[in-house]
Amino acid sequence: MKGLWNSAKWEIAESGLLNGRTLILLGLWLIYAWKAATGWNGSGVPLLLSFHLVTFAVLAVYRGLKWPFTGAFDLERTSDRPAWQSVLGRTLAWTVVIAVGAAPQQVFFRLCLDRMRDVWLRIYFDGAERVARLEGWIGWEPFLVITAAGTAAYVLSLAVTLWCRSGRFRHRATIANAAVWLFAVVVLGYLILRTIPLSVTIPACILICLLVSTWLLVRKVE
Amino acid sequence: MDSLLEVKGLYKYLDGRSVLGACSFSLAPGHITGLLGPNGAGKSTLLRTIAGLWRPDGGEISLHGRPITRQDRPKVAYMADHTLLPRELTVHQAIRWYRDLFPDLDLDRFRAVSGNLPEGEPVSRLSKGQAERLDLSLLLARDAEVYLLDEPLGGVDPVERAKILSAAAGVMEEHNALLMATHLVHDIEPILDDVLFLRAGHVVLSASAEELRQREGLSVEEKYMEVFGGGSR
Repeated sequence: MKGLWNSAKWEIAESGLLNGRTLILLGLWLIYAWKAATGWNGSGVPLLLSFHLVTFAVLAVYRGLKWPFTGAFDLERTSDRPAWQSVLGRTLAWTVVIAVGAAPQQVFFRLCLDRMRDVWLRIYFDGAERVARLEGWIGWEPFLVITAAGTAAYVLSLAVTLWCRSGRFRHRATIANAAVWLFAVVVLGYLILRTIPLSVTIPACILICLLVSTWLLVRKVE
Repeated sequence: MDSLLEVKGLYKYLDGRSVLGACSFSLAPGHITGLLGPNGAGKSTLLRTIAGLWRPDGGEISLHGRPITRQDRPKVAYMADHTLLPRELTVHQAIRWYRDLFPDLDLDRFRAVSGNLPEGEPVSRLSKGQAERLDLSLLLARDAEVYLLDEPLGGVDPVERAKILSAAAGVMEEHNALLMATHLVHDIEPILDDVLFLRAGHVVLSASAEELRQREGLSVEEKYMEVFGGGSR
């Protein structure tokens, strides 16, 4: 179990999230978002209030694409740390980070909802729809769905990258190849699975990608 | 003498081309072996395959006569020709990171070899010589049975090179072996017990350095020139 904790701990350290400059930027944006949530009314405000979530989700996908191409990945393969601990530890770390990014979004949405309802209903012809959409993002259920979706994005990027690194031409694989494959998988997945509810696709994606990543790491990459 | 690590008929193909072809050799305990050959001979591929980073397409690699399992992997310590440490971390963090991965790391032994490294600097900002010293210190501070070093002398000045060789020789005990790939035959010759010449993925010579000198009256460097350079120096 120590390998699980170490994988999670160092994944966050390697991502640069805990660097002083990154923390200052995130802190300043928190103040900026607070100001926006308590005083601004524009239609772009919800996106501005989701900055932390979007940043963390993009970073998670980037790390999923990058990790299998790092020297640290190779060195870890020469240790006795089981593959499942490497994969699960990182996934749990990003789940926590994405939850931390989704939390301020929830707080800010709640803060600005009443004012938005008041203003949007007066200034937009579709104000009621806009308010309903915003309301739909608030609460425990949306919070869990957002966190799970972010986790799914991470494990999907990891599974696709490990798949790229496990084929016959694995030594030729690059992050760019993996990113293109990830894009193709997302588009194809959307076209095929869009009718299935998210409450099914997201947990299924997490479970399948976790199993596939661990299997690829044990059977193909190592 | 029983061999510590044995490689039998090892094959590796990349892009459908044979990079290692039926490589067979063994490493004796307590011996330093030089893995010598020109560029593209397959030295790095051989070391990566033994370390478990690449899956062999055929053949066997065994430690104490048994195939290397996942649990055995830390017994084979590997150092690449470039640092594998996370470049985002500071030197101090990288040492902790390495220790979490390999808990057998002896910090006293590490300090003895590493000397003064800027521990607050990110790994990415180290000079090539400093990065190699950090890698080598970490590697030699492990309680491994086989040490694999890929070009540890490339890009370092002669003083640093002498320190690296002395550190490598210093770690050797009765129960472990060291396999070092390099082009700098002249520099490593004084510490070599055995040599392994690799050409186009095939072992063309596996012999004791002393035996070469006595039997053929040639130094390792002269033999290298004879085999790869088309004539004796």
